Amino acid sequence: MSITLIRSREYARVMSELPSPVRSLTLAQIEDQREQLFAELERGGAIRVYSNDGEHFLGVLTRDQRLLDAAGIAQLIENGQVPPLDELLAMADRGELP
Amino acid sequence: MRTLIAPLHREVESQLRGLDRRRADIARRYIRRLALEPHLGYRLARGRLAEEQCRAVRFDHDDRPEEMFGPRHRSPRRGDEDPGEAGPRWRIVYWSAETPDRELRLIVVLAVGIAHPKPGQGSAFELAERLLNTMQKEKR
Repeated sequence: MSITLIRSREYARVMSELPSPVRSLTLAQIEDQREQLFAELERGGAIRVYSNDGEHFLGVLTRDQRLLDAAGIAQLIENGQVPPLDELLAMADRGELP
Repeated sequence: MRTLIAPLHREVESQLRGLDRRRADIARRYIRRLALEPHLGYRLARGRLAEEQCRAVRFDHDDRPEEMFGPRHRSPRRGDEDPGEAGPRWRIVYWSAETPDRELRLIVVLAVGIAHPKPGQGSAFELAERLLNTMQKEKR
C-alpha cells in the first residue's frame, strides 16, 4: 500500500476539477514556449489565448480529454472523412462497419 | 459505451489488399476486436501520433486475434537481433475518441503496415501520421 500526501490547497484544486496552472498568453508567446506549455497543458493546465496585439481574447487552449475527443470527432465528420454519428450507428446496426 | 469502428479509409483498404491473405485476415480480425477492446493497442510514446493519443496493435502471421489473453508463446527478441527482424513486425495504428456524453467511442484505423521497414519504405507510423493529417485538414 502506498500513501500520497497532498496539501489541502492542492487537494481542493484537484477536487474542484478546475484547470491549473492557467495563464494568459498571445499566439506568439504560445509559439515561443510551445514545449513547456504542452507539458503544462498535459498536466491539466489551460491557456487563455489572445491575439498578438493583445486586443482580442480568442478562447482557451486546453488538452481536456472531453474537448479533445469532441473536437476530433466533429472535425472528421465536418471534413466528410467519417459519416455523421447517427449514420454510423445505423451502419453498425446493419453490420456494415468493420 | 458503444465502440464503433469507422469505415476503413481507402488507403487503409489498399494497405490491407497489399498484404498476403493470412496477414490481411489477421489484421481485419484485430480491427474487429478493437470494437470489444478499444485499448488493446499500446499508447504511442513519441511525436505527433503520441500527441493525438494514438495506439498501435502489434501483429504477425502466427497471431490468433481471438486469443484474449495473448499468444500462447512468442519468442523474445535477443539482444543481437535487429528490432525490424524479430517479434511482431506489423502494426495497426489507430485513433480513438469518445463523444461528450460518453455514449459512443469512435475508432479510426490510420494504417496497417510494417513498424520498421527497409530504408525507403514508409513505416506504419509514417503512413498513419500522413493519413491523420489528411483526414483532419482536408475535406472529402
